[in-house]
Order: sequence, then C-alpha cells, then structure tokens
Amino acid sequence: MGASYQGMLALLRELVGCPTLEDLLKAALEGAMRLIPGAQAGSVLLRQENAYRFVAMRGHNMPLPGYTLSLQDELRWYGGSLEEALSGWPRAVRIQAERSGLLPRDRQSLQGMCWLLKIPVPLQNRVEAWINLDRCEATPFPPEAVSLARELALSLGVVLQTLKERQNTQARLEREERLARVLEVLSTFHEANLLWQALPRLVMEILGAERAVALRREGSELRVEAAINWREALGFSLPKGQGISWAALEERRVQMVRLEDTGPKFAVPARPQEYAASIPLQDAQGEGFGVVVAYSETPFEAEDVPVLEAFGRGAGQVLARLQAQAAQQRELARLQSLTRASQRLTAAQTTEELLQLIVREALEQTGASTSLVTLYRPKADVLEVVAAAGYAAEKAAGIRIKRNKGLAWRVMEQRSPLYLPDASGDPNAVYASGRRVPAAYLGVPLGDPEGRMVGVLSVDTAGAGGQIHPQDRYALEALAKVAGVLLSRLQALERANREAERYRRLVQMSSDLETLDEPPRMAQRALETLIDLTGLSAGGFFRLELQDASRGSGWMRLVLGHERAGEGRLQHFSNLPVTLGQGFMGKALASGKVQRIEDYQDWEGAWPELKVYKLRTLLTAPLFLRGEPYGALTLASFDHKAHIFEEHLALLEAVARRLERALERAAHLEEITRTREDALRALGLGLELRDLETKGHTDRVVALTVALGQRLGFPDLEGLRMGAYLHDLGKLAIPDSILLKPGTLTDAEWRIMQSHCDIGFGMLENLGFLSQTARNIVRYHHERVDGSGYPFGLTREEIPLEARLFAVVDVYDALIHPRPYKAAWRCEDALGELQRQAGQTLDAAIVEAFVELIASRVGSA
Amino acid sequence: MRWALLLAFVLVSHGWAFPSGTLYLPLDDRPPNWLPCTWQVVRCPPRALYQGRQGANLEALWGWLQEQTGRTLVASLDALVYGGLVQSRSSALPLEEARGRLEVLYRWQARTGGQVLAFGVIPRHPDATHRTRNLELLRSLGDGFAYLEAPWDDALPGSPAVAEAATLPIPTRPGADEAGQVLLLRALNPGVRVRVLYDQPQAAQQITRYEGIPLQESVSRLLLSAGAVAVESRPDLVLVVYTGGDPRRGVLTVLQGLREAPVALADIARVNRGEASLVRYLLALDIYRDLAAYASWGTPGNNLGAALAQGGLFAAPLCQRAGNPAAWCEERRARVLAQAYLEYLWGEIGRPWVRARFPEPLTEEAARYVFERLQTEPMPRLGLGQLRPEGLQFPWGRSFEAEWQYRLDGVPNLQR
Repeated sequence: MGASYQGMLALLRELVGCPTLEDLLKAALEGAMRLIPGAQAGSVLLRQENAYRFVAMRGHNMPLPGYTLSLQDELRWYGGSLEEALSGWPRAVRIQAERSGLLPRDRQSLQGMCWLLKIPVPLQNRVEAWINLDRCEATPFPPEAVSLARELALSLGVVLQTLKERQNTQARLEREERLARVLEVLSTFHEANLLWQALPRLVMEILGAERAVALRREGSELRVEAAINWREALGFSLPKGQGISWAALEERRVQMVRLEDTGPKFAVPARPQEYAASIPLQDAQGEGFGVVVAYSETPFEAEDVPVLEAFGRGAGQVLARLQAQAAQQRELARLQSLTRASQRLTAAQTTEELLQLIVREALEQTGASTSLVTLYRPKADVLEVVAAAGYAAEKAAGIRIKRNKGLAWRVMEQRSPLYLPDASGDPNAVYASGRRVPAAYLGVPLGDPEGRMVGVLSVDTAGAGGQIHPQDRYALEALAKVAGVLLSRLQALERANREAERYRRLVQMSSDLETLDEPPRMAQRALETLIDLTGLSAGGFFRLELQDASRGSGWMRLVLGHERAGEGRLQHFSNLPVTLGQGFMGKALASGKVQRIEDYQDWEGAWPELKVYKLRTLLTAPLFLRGEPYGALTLASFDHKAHIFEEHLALLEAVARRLERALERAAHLEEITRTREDALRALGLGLELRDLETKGHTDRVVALTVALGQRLGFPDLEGLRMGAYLHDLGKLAIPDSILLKPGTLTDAEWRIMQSHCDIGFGMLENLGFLSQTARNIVRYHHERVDGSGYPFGLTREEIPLEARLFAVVDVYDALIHPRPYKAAWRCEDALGELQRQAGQTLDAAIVEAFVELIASRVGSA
Repeated sequence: MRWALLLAFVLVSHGWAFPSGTLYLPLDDRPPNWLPCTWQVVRCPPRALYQGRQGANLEALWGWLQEQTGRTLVASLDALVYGGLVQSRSSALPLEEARGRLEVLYRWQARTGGQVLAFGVIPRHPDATHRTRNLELLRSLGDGFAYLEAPWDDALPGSPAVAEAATLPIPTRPGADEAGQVLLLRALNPGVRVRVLYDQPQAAQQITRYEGIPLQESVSRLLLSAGAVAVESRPDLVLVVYTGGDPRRGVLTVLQGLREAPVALADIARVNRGEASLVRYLLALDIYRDLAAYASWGTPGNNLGAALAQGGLFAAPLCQRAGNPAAWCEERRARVLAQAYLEYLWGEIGRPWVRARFPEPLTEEAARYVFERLQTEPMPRLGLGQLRPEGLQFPWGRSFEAEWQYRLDGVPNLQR
C-alpha cells in the first residue's frame, strides 16, 4: 500500500467529515490537486438535475461561472464515451478551449493551460460530478496520475453515496424521531374528535408540508374533518372510489402523487403544482378510519413512506382504541340508562303511563326527533299508534295503519329491526306530518315474554332532524325488550284487575239480585252494574205490550231506566213502537239473541227518530217469560262509539237470563199465593155450604178481622186472615147429629162440640205455610178472658191476642146474623152486648177498638 | 463476592429480556465458541471445566449440567461426548459408549422439561479417524431433541463431508465454530426477517472454498438453522455477504443494506482473515461503527453464522423488540463490533507477524510483543467510545487464535 493510497484514504476520511456536498467537492478538488502529480489548477462541477454547475475553482483567474454546462458539453470536453465516464475512467486530454462548454469570455482563462485530466465521478449510473485538473506545463500528466485519478473518482463516488446515505439516514432518524414524538402525542389523546382535529398538524410535524387535511370515513364518503392552511376544504366530502385518498384507504398504503398528474380533484381550488401524500389511517386489523393528506410544493421522499405508514397505523390504532373506548363508554352509558329506564318504566302504574315512558325513553336513547309505539290490533288487522313522543306526536297518536302500509308493518312481519338512513325513498313510509322529507327510520319489534309480536317501537327524524345511527338499534331493542315485558305484565295486571273488578261487581250484583224478588228492582240493579262495567251510558228494562198479536206489533214500554248522570236521553225512549223481527228490539225478540249494533248511526235498520238522539252503540238482550216475548234489557251509548268486548255481551246475556228467572219466579209466586188463597177460602166456604154457618159469615169475619188487626197494628195480618178463614175448620169432624142438633146438647155432645177447636188445630198442624197466628185463632177463638171459654178455660193474656181479637169479631157477626135459635140483632144492640161483655168474656181494649171500627164504617157508609 | 453480588444485582435490574434460563454448553473454549459466554445472555459451565487443547473435563461437565435447571439448553454434542472438537476427530470411543454419554442430555431434558437445541459436527477431512462412528452417533439420535443439526467442518475439495451430510436425517450445513452462536439466535430471538445482499450477485451461485456447496445454499441453510426467515422486503436485518474484489462495491452494498435495516457484514473474501481494503474503507467512511455485526475470522460458514447471530441478537431494533433496554443493546453491539475488529486485526496483522517471529507454543513474551505492534494500528471509535486494546493472550499457545482484552473509552461519540 503506497503513500498515495494512504493519502487517498486520509482524504476520504477528511471528505466524510464535510457537512455538505459542495464542501466535500471543494475539499475533493484540493485533495486531488495535492494527491495527483502534475495538477496545477482545477475546477469541479456538480450535477444539478440534467446539467452541471461549477462548485469550485483553483488556479484560474476568473470568478466562478454562474451558468451550467450540459452533459454533452462535458462529454465533448472529456473526449470519451458516457460508458467510460460511468466506469470512472479519467482522461488526460490536450486542452482545446473551443471544445470546452465555457462561454467565450471564460475560455480566456484556459489560455496557458496545456493539459486537462478530466475525472468523472460516477454514482448510481450517472456522472455525479466532474473534477477537472489542469496543467500548464507542456509535458503531460505522469502515467500514474491517471490510475490514481481513477481510484479517486471511484472512491469519491462511494464517499458521495455515503454522504447522501448519511444525510438520508440523518433525515430518516429525524423523521423517526418526529414520528416517535408524534406517536407519543397520539397516545395522549382521550377523545377521537380532538385527535381528528390534531391529525393535520401532526402530519405536518413529521413532513413539514405546507398544508394538510384529515378525512374521516363516514359510510361511503370521506369527509374533511380538519384542515390546516386550507379552510375551504373543511366539510368537503369525497365519494367512494374518488381520488388518491380513497386509493390510499382501499390499498392500505401511502400514496404520493403530483396533483397535476391525478384525475378529477376536490371541488376546492386546486394547486396543480403541489404534491400530495395520502396516508391511510388503519388499525392492526386493517380497518380504515380515514386518510390524512399532506400537501407540499416540493415532492415527498419515498423514504418517508415507512414513517408515514407507521404514523397512519399509530393514528389508526389510537382511533381504534378511542373508538372502542367510546363504544364501551356508550355501551356502559346505554346499559346504565337502560337500567334507569327499566326502573322508570317499572314505576308505570297503567299501560298508558308505560307507553308514554317508553316513547320518551326511546327519544332519550337515540338522537331521533319522534318516537312511536304501535300495537297490533288483531280484530281490525291494523297497527295502531298508541303512544308518541317528540315532533308531530299529537298527529301520530291514534293513527291506524293497514297491513302493507307503513314501515312498522315491515318490522312486524319480518320480526326484525329495520334501519333506513333515509326512509323518504321508501314508498311504504307513512308520514304523520304528511310531509315526505328525508329522514332516518329505525324500528324494532315489540314482543311479549312468550315471543309473540305485539307491536313496534320506532324512532325517526322526520320533520325535526336529529340523528339515528344503525347501532342505535341495540339500545332500542333492549328498550323494546324491557318495554315488551313490562307492557304485557301491566296489560295482564290490568286485565286481571278488570277481571277481578268485574267479578267482584258480578258477585255483588248476583248476591243483590238474589235478595230481590221484584223484576223492576232487579233490572235497576243489573242496569247500574252493566253500565258501570261496559262503559256504556244508559240502559233500560222494557216490557212488551203486544197490541196486535197476529202481526207481532205493539209497544216497548220503559219499565225503568238508568243512565249516567247528566245524560238525560232516556226519556226519549220510554215508549218505543215495536214489531217483532224489525228494529233492534224486534230483532232481538224475534231471534232470541243479543243484538249488537256497533254504530246505530251507520246501521241500515236505524230509525231516523232515534238517530237524532245520537244513539251510537247498542246492545239489546231479549227477555222471555215462559217462552213468550216479554221485553228487553237494553244498553246504549250516545255521542261516542263504545268498545264492546265479548265479555260484555256474555254479561248482558247472563243478566237477562237472571232477570227472566226472577220474572218467572215472581209470576209463579203470584200464582201460588193466589191458589192458596183460593184453597183456604174454599175450605172456609165449605163450612158455609154445610150450613154450619150463616152464609157469608166466613168472608165477613175475614174482612172484619183483618180490618181490626190493621186498626190495632197487628203484625201478622195474613195470619189473621188465614185464622179467620179456618177458625171453625174442626167442625168438619163434628157429626151432623151434634152439629145440627136443634136442641140443647148433652154434656157428652157438648164436649164433642167443644173438641172442634183442637181438631181444627190438629188439622192445620201439618200445613207449614200457616202461621202460628192462624193456628192460635183456630184453637183459642172460644176461650174467654174470664176463663169461661173452652177448650182450656184460659184467662186474659193467657189467651193469644189474635184469638181474643177474633173472638170479638166472631161474637159480633153471630149476634147480628140470625141463627136457628135466635133472630138477628141490630147492630147497635150487638155492639152494646159486646161492650157489656168487655172485660168479662171479651177483651175490653179490643172491644173498644172494634166498636170504633164499626162506628167508623157506619159513619163512612 | 460483593462485586459479584453487585453485578448480579445490576444484571437483574437492568438485565436483558431475552428468554431467561438459557444454558449454553460450548464446543470448546476457543474465542468464537466461548464468546457467547461473555454476552450476558446465557449461563455457561465454569471456564475451568474446559481445559484448552486437552478438551473438557467430561465428568465435571456432566456433573455441572446435572445441577442446572433452565428452559433451553444449547449444547455441543462433541463437547459432551468427546470433550471438544479436536477430541472428536481422534477419540476411539465406541459408538455405544458415545451414545451412553448423551444420556446426560436426556436426563436433563426429562428433569427440567426444558428443550435441547444441539449440534454435532461432521468432522474435518482428513484428520478425523473415526468418521463413521461420529456420523452414526448423529444418525442415531433421531428426534430426541427439540432441534438437532450437523454442521460440517472445513470441506476442502475431496472431503466426504458434504456427501456424508446428505445421508443424515437432520439439517446440515457448512460450519462448526459459529454453530453455538447460531443456535443461540434460534433460541433467544427466533423469526428474524433477513434480507441477504451479495456484493457480487453472481457469487451466490458459486461453490465456496471450505463449504462444498453454492454460497446461497449455505446461506439459506444457515437461516433455517437460526430460525430466521429470508425476505426480500421490510427486513429486520440485512446480511451483506462480501465476497471480495471491489471494496467500494462492498461499501455500496453495505450502504444499500443500511437503507433498509441494520447490516450484519460477513466478510468471506478470504478465509480466517478479513479484507483490509474493505475494512479501511469502512473505517475511513465511518461506516464500520454503524454495522450491526462484522465477521471475518473463519471460513465463509463461520463468518456468515457469526455475523447473522450477533446481528440478530444485538442490532438495536431487534434487540429492543425482544424487550431489552436500548443502552444494553447498544453496548452489546459495540462489544461484538470491537471483538470482530480485533479478530480482523489478528488475522490481518497479528497472526502473520507473530508467525514470522515466534515458534509455537507461543509464550507470554510473544504475546507482549505482538500486542505492542498491534497497538500502532488504527482503532475505530465505536458507539460507546474509542476501542482500546489492553492485552492479548494465546489460550491454546498457538498463533491461530488470540484472546483479546480491551475496553471502550472516552466520551460517547455523538458527533460524526
């Protein structure tokens, strides 16, 4: 290893320490003049794009030329091929100033120079620099100068490369350091929105670009979320697939372009001379959140790509983390609010209260402006809006939606949530406001605990804006679940309560009806309960009066009615003409079935006379007595249609039957009473027919006894009457020989005669329907207060009152009517006799009352 | 004792994060084999159990192993069976007995539940006297260990080693003295993504002296041994294979590699010594200190393996990725570079110088003289400071290998 090689290594070591390329080349020129024998002056040119500019000169008496020389200029001056130059071959040539690329005025400086050793410095297939060594001596460069120059040229190439690499490495390290700083900053963010705002600044911190924007992915768009030095771009949206930003996101790699070279741009004024670097923001799973784009007037370096990718991944991961945290927070908040909601919902006492709470809660859980609960009505096969909150709530409530209309039906039929970012395009969407505006819709099924669909809970943004996200479905579904359970529980509870109440009233009514015998009072009681239970407003118990039995026509007379306070319509219904088979009552009576008219106003059989009273819903149960039409029990609502449940019909039917039985019983009782009366009278009259009594005696004593009992306030008048009818019944058992004996009876005959009281009493003993009063009359009517009577010789109060009472009447009637053994007394004589007997044989107080009775009768006669 | 405790404390508190509990049983105590014991990443037997050219004290070695627990054992079968590489060439031990001596490994494995990564050398031709026994032993081991390979030692033309290797049912490749380091990389930092750059692409297809197979075949077998992955982009480490000729091209290849990842430079232009012109360039251009590793001390297989292993373990990103503190990684990298430079210096200047002047066995006096001579050579500044040799000795009393003492001093060199 020669000294020159050592010297060259020393030179290289020196060159490596140079801070810039120009310094290096200046030092290289100095070193070359030192190392290479024969060099007396020199210059060095450095490549700049496709031309070469002077960097340094030594030994020439001229200022550094400010112009550049082309590769062709240099190759001409070099005198060799490009290949030779790229191999680092120096060439020693005799100087011919006109072959140089210098301007004529500068060529003078070549005067006196004889030889040129032109050294190309090759680097990466280009001549990076030229070192020109000049010699003014006539003798050429010594031979070793060329080989040494080549060594120098090649080494310089390496040094240049090293320096470049070092600069690159330095730059890379700086970038990595900036990246590390930025990544550290990224990790401090706790809120995604703040991070989005910071992203342009952060990327500029790494790249030193002039402006930058951050585009956030929102569905199929990229929207400019933040911008630095480009405010106009804010809010701008980039549809899917457009521009380098989408390319960066979809290809998941950094894109660097010159804007001029790309296709359609942002609508924002473009600066085509700019360069752009689009950095996808993605997490470890490659999920793309958006793009950060940096713009610069100078091109970005390919070496920046790994750093930018690391930045994109770092930011993506932080965004993913924040998003996950936010989602977790949201989920937690949702769970909490759901818990609170279900607590609140649980507090609802009635279905209506609950429904209101549900819709309000749905609004709170989502960002919607309107919330509805629609319940399925199986009878009508409609969905009815039963609760609404938010915008246009009052218009929505009560809306009934037929099948195949409205989005709720789709949710109902598909039993799954439905989310439409914009429902206005859906022909099925029903707008409560009537205005078809772009609005998001989210509906979830509402089911009961057994999984049956009961309706739909929905939210929308129609009319008043707001926001609904697809993920809101989870909150809404959870709410619907809680709501469904509570709703069915509450409905069941209400049903049970209603049922219990109805049952209680029915039991009450039944027990009340049991205590009542009279059909009108029963009907009254039944109507009160029915009106209460059914919610109808009035009711009546009508009785049929057939006038033309053959035509079945007549009148329905209102026996009694009951109506809610302030109604005052029943009066118009007190007499209704009827023809069996026509009109609502006629039909009921003809068919024997309960008639139900939902709305009398729409009923084809309605009478105009009744329509005017705004009769609406009507229920009529026919009443029959012994298979014959008897009347009807009718319930009605006025002004409003009433909702009639099956159970109401059954109830009315049951009451009608109960009433029929009562009517039947009443009729039967009346009949029995009459029959008994007739029988007893017949018995009494039987004695008269046997000529045992004067004709009419029985009827007279019955009438007088009852009258006297009334006067004395005797409680058992019926007993008195019966006793009077039957007082001498025992005489039927007395043989005619004694009974009809004209003369005085023997003692034996008299005892037999006296036994008729006990015999009569014995005959009546088994007749359960006779009261003690009646039997006492039969047994004791011959006792006398002074003990002179028979059969026991009782005295005063020992003799039952009724017997003492009847004794007065019996004696009186015997006195004033003729007997075979006496003539009839005059009334006043008879009364006088009674007064004489008063206190002796007869009760004085009773005689007094009797005398007054007779006196009052005579007086009034 | 107090120092030892303090050191232990320092190691525990600032310790590496490579998998702990790794044992290393070297082939012998020559520098390339023993070097990993100085890296603070493995537990080795006491140096005294290896007795230089006499080979290891086998019973003591087995006894030591029986007392050790650990998760991984990187072991030289030749050390355990014959006492070392030299002994493996001459030992007349019958096959059965040789096999019996490996019981100690199976027992360790069974006792600790740890994994054994082992290598047994296919011996050099023509020195080895019982080649068949050596081969049969390797052949008979089957799949008793987590990993077993057989590097072949110095396959000069006419050596049967390559053909013999082809008959073995286990991975084989050229090499021997680097094998411990390579398997340590496999144990401690597997999965390194390596891009291989040749200064002359055509050299990859050429059969290299001492290897017997094309260079790129050597390299790919080496990567498999090390548990590394060959990649073309985004490497963790670039292995630059310098085959000689134009040092400037070598430098440019290194520069190209540095653009992608840390560079481990295997200087295989010559055997047992580096190429001075390349090293001078690297020093002059201040590139040497940027390398992850450099190796020039042995055959191509030795150098490739050592550069790969040291780069794979201590290059900053890889070393830190494994959880080690940056300063520790930087120190380890500086030390393996210092060691590699001193080895280069020995091969380039020291060995010829001492051979020309002193007969073997070499004395301490010879060591002193040659050390004085070598101190006049330029010493690189490394990341932690100027390299300062402090002495050298000849562990085996011969000129082939020298054991250096050195320090890195001066202020940390932050400016270029």
